[in-house]
Amino acid sequence: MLHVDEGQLHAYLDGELASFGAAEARDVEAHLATCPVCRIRLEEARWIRDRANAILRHSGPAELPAPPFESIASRSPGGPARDARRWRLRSGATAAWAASIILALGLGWFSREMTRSGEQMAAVSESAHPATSGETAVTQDAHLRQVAPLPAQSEVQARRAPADATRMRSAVGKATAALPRSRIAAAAPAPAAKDAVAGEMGVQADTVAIASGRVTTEAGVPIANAQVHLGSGTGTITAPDGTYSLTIPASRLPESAELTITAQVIGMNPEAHRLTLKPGETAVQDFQLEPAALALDALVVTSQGTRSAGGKEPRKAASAAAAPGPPVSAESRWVPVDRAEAERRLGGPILTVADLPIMDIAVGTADGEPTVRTRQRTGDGKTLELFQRVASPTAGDKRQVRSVETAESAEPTQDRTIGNNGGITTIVLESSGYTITARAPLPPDSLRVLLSELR
Amino acid sequence: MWLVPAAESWPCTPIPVSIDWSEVYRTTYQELVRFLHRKVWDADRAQDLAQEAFVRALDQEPMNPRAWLFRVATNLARDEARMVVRRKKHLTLLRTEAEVAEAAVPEASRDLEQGERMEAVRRALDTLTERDRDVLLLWDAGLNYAEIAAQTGLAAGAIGTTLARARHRLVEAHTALEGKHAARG
Repeated sequence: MLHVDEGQLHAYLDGELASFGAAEARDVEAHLATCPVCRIRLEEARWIRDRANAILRHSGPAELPAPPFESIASRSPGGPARDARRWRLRSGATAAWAASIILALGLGWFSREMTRSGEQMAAVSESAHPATSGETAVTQDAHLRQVAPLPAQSEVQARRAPADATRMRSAVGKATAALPRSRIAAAAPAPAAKDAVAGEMGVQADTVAIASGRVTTEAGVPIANAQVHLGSGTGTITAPDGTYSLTIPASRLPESAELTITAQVIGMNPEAHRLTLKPGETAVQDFQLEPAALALDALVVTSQGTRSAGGKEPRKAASAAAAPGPPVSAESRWVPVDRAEAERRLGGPILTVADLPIMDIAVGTADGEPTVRTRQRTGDGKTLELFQRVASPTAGDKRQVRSVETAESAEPTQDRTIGNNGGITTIVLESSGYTITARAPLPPDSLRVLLSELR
Repeated sequence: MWLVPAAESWPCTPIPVSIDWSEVYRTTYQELVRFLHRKVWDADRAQDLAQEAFVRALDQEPMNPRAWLFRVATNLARDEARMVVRRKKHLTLLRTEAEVAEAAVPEASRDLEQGERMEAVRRALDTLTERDRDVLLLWDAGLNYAEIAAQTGLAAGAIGTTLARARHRLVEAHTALEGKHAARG
């Protein structure tokens, strides 16, 4: 396919690729897995999205406490002042239609409702006696809906808000004055129903649903730092043993209770499952990810291209495939972020050399992989660059050096902040599930010593 | 300023629904206030409108409460904006002193820095088209693409593109405003 477009990138970031349809979503994911150009664009889009979110976040009103639900419920004549959770028919636009349905269901149910909230209904109006029949009441109800959008001018004025913040909110008196006149009459809730509402809220106050499970390879090797998410932007990252637990607030659960839960990690094909999950329920969903048909060759080519431009020692193809080279790339664009943001993106702590001042932390793409770059100043005013990314799942937890290389000259590097005396040493090592490429204008031994302080 | 919006038209299919409104209220209220605040730029008014939306929702019991609430809130905010313009034109002289005093104390005075920040966001948002702004604010309020599409009448596949454009413009406009501010101060 052609490159992924902007809208698809944003949908991908928002966990909403499904909005394009399943086939297109697959194409986009497959393309992103293999196209370094689009990976970089993805990072740019991510930056824009995060920035926009941050701007909006800082503009919110100081969060004022919500008035109690009862005060809202008491303002609504048809609302759950009677019963917060119940079966109810949604009536349509015409009174005749609504009336016929109610009649078809039988009058018994409705009159029972009315008895329960007799106090409320008794007030309905001068024109209709609530005790007569359900049909009358429903007709009235439907009628009210039609007149509701046309408030009298006097009401509009009556509703003009006074200045202070303590006004209205829970005051039923003011609230009723704020409603069109025909609706006022029914506004006083039955006290018993009010209690029912309060009880309901107490029970349900903290309802969440929990999905948990384990993400492994087909061979059963746990995958750490895999993303597990729902389409709606709720997500988490797996622990070192591959387990995850996703707590989903009730507000993020669709009414149908059907969710799609997806696990993905770079280098593996994403896997999605459908789950049925209601508030208060838990579900277990394990994933077994298959390795992606990731164009490893392409990675090698990219890294060799950069390398042959500078390194005097030609790189062996085998080691290039095993150990990614220093992430020097002409297209690399590094976006400075704060540490917390970088760690969030990495899904874990950033490793730095203890006691060296940190100059900056940036995120970007190196060899097509999301990477965090940390620059630290060494004692003698030189710059140490650390590129950290999540290691491939097969990498062990043990710290080990994968390759050491020294270039004679710093000429090929894009970055002029690196000193130029004595050549640049690059060490690639694995540590705590990360691949770290360290680069500094230091002799290999010195850099090794520095890296022993990496934590 | 308290015009009631035109009646929402909803399909007449009779479907029995069971909705826990106290839960909807608990999970959606703050988001709704937040959303409305970016439309009317007044915390009290945003709260009033959010409550009004809930009162109507409880009355009408729509099937998809969240989408419905945001739709009604959008209409309420729009009517509010029109009303404010009309009032400015015609009723300036009729205002009571109290109202003038109220209008003269902007939210910014409560917290100057917060006020300035909000003003910058407000002006940046103003540079967006109404549609882009709506989509951005609805996403920010927690609606998913499908809900936003249903609400705005856009195709679901167009939400990503619209959001991308809106985010770019917001960031550009906001950065430009910050630049100006820095140059001034």
